[in-house]
Amino acid sequence: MTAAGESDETLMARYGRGDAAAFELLYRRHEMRIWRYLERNVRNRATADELMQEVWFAVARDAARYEPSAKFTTWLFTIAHNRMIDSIRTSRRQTSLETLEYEAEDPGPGPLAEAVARDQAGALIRAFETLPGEQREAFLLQIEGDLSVEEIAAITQSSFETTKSRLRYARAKLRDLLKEYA
Amino acid sequence: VNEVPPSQDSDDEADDLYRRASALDPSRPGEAVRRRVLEHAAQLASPPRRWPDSCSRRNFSCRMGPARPCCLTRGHCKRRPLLPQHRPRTQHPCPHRRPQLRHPQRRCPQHRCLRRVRWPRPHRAPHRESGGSTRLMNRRFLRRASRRRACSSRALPSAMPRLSRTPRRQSPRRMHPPRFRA
Repeated sequence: MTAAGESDETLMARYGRGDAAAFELLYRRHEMRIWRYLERNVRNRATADELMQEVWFAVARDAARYEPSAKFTTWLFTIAHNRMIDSIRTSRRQTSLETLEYEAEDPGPGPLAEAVARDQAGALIRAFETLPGEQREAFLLQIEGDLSVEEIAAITQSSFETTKSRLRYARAKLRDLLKEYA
Repeated sequence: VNEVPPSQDSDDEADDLYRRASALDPSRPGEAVRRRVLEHAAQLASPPRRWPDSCSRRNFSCRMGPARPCCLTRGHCKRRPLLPQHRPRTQHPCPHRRPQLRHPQRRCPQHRCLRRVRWPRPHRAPHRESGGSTRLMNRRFLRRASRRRACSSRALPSAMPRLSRTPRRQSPRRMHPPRFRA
């Protein structure tokens, strides 16, 4: 089996034994998924960068203690979720994702971002960001992390039914927004 | 409440549109983040230092340095039971090398003799009683105080409060609001 075809858990075990190349492979595999999850939740590029670094530092630090009892992505997104919640608490502005009001961090889109924003896809991303925080997070965990409803419920520490309804509402709202932007 | 639950197809449609929009989104994590994470991971992955194979367990003196004569002297002066103190030899012993300090911020960097800088205490009157002459004790006190002040003001002006600026207690009268007579 080639290194690219190895499972995440095997790569983590390799890294735990001191193979730095395995970590790099893991990082490249999940970089964008974690980034999108963080960036679309906190909606601030600088904070997302900071959190991204913290998450991967934590992965590297805890690699020796990692036991593949659960999926690697579940573990990874749990770390990301916890770091994000800590960051929100530390900022002391808001205590929950629901009431989080994001900074207006729009200094003027670049030419590429402008082109994307004109597109339906760009509009969808912007529309997606208007979803309530908990719904958005549940949706992102499912679509970026490929996690099941049970896993999302465990990460966000909510019940199965609550998580399921959050996902349903998020999708319904997305469909409505899609109709608007279509 | 009475809405018809969305079908699986419409869910998939929303997910597909989101994925397509995500692929077009130009935002990415910073290159500096990636570099820092990978460097950190490589650092953690490097194997811990081990003693060379020539050092067996029996060869104790290879790993442990010889007993220090100064330790014996100090113990001898204080009339304590003498035990040789062995220190691990991690580097080549250099007589000119300054030893590592336990609390470097609490030492006066201007003194090479490694005299400990004491934390300043609130101002007290010199001890008057006892057999020694008060004059002599006053002189000693002033000498120590001036030495401490010199150390604290020169070496660590911001970290340590000055002796002379110890806040005085305010009389309880001042704490009350002024009274006005009718």
